[in-house]
Amino acid sequence: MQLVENILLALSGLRSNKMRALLTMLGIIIGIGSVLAIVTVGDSMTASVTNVMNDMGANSIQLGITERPDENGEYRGSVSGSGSRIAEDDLISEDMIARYREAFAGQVGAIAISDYTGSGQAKNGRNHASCDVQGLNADAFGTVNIDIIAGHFLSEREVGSAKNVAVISDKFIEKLFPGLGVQEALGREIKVQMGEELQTFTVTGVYRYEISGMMQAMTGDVSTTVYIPLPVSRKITGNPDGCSYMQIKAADGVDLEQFRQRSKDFFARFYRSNLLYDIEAYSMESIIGQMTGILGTMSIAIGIIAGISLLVGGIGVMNIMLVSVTERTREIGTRKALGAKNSAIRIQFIVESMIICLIGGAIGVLLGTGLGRLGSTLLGFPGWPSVRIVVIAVCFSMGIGVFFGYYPANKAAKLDPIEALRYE
Amino acid sequence: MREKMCPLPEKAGEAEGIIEMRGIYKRFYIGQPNELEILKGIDLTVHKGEFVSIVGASGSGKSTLMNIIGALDRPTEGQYTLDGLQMHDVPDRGLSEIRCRKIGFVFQTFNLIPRTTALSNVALPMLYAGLPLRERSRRAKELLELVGMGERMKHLPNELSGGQKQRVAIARAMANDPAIILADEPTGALDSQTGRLVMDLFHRLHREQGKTIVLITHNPELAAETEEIITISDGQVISREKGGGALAAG
Repeated sequence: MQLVENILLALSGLRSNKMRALLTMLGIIIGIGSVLAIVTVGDSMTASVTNVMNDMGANSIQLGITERPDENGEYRGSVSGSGSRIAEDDLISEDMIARYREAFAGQVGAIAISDYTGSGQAKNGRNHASCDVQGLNADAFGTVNIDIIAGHFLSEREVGSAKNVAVISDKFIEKLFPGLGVQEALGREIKVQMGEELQTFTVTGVYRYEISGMMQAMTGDVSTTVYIPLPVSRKITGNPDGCSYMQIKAADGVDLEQFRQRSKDFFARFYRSNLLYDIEAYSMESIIGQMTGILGTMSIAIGIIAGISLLVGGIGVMNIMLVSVTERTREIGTRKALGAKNSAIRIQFIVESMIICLIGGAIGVLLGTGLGRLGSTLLGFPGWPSVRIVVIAVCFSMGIGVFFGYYPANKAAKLDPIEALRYE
Repeated sequence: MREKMCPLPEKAGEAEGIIEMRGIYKRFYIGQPNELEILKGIDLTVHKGEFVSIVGASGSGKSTLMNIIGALDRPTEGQYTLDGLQMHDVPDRGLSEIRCRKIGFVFQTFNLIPRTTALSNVALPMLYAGLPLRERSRRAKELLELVGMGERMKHLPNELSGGQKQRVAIARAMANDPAIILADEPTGALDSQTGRLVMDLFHRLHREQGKTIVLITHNPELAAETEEIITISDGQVISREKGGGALAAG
């Protein structure tokens, strides 16, 4: 009963001093708003990353060679591409892969090997389209996650015989041959300028270009990928046969962690006496685990920042409540003379501080939802804050109100009515 | 029969008067070199339905006496019985309850709660007394009508003149039908004309409602209107005399 009166009173107090109320709330608004925005972006990012990774193959492992540090514990950076090229002898050879397939028969689904050919510019009269050219083996189909809408993906035979064929996107056709249907594009020749040389490929398949949010956010001009057979790519780049990295898809029902370990051990045997390189293998699970770990650390950091801003906001509320108590000393004295118990005065001020924080929290929630929506949309995976986090935010802001309102409220409650009535 | 010992102080008090003070002392800074004795053995009786005034120069101790009467403070020594209640036995926490139900304060500076309508101001003591909302607003309206402020119930204090504010304050003082109305220089902040209206209101409440009113003032003319004038000087009652109010009533 008295609670309603107190709420109404607090609201009328805030109304009569809007600017001050707003400035007081600002700390809470910013604190709650930023937490909510960041959590929203983080959540939708996690969801999207996990999604993408699952698409890429939850049941595959990445296996590649990794540098051993030299005697000073330093790396030359050849694998990451910053240093000198890796000698052919150090790469994983076709022979090793063949022996691996044999040893792991029934467990290996597909082995995807890729070779980045480079970026190029395709021209057809006045039309042109930029593209990334990538060499793949036939097994790589499952790992690139594309939808073939016309023709077919690079076949075993095309890869084996190193035919100059290419799988391109519908977007690429649209830019290069405006008005041409995807079916009609099959068999057409495309000319791609790569560095000094002009490469010619015959279109054998078309895939649907899907706008991935992250891609769209990062690149304004859409550069789609042209897939060509692996040997063709190696011919263009001059890369030696053999690969430094591959993606291995496990057959269904294979324990991935065990598979990763055993695959790693298998290839590591070939590198036992290699002083420069070793084998490393990751599974998507372990990468997702790492990502989650990173996001967790980020959340803690954000939490600390939010905590500090809310602390500052809370101190602001406490400050203004102390001012309010001083300003209203006479009113407090009058209320006491009229029969208000200390507890009634205390509750009045706690409710007031709670209302300030609650309104601040609510505005913060709106602000955070807006910013979170905006941020997550800009990053390409729109999301809303979860109800749970909103409820937590609102409750937390109320808690701040009670916590930081208690001291001023108690000060008001303990005022001597005679002194308070005499206060000028 | 009066000689018979009464075990309950309440009953004794009720028999005597609504305010019953015996040997009231008030000292400040007790035990310190600057110890100060403000009230030096006050004996005072106010009967139910009386309109009395307490007069005295500033520094005479009348404010301190008023604080004790109003249960804002306790005497250092002596017995104070209010409406049959031995104040000595009331715990500190109970004083707010006494103020709420037994005393109606009227202040020199009105002390209406800012940003709160006249109606809510009058209803406030009833809120503290725990009355339900419907009852509160019904009675608050009645009281505002009684003091002639029925037209301005929804007005905020800063929309009212001094005299109007004081009338709202008087309505508020009567909210919980207190044993006494304690008015501290109620006309002190008003011009003589509005002051006159406020005094007339007190007289009317006394006459028509039978209210017990204690008026604290330094103005001998106002005091002369009441039934009894109690003069305080240097912490002691130096005279009690009948006033014009008593003559008029008599």
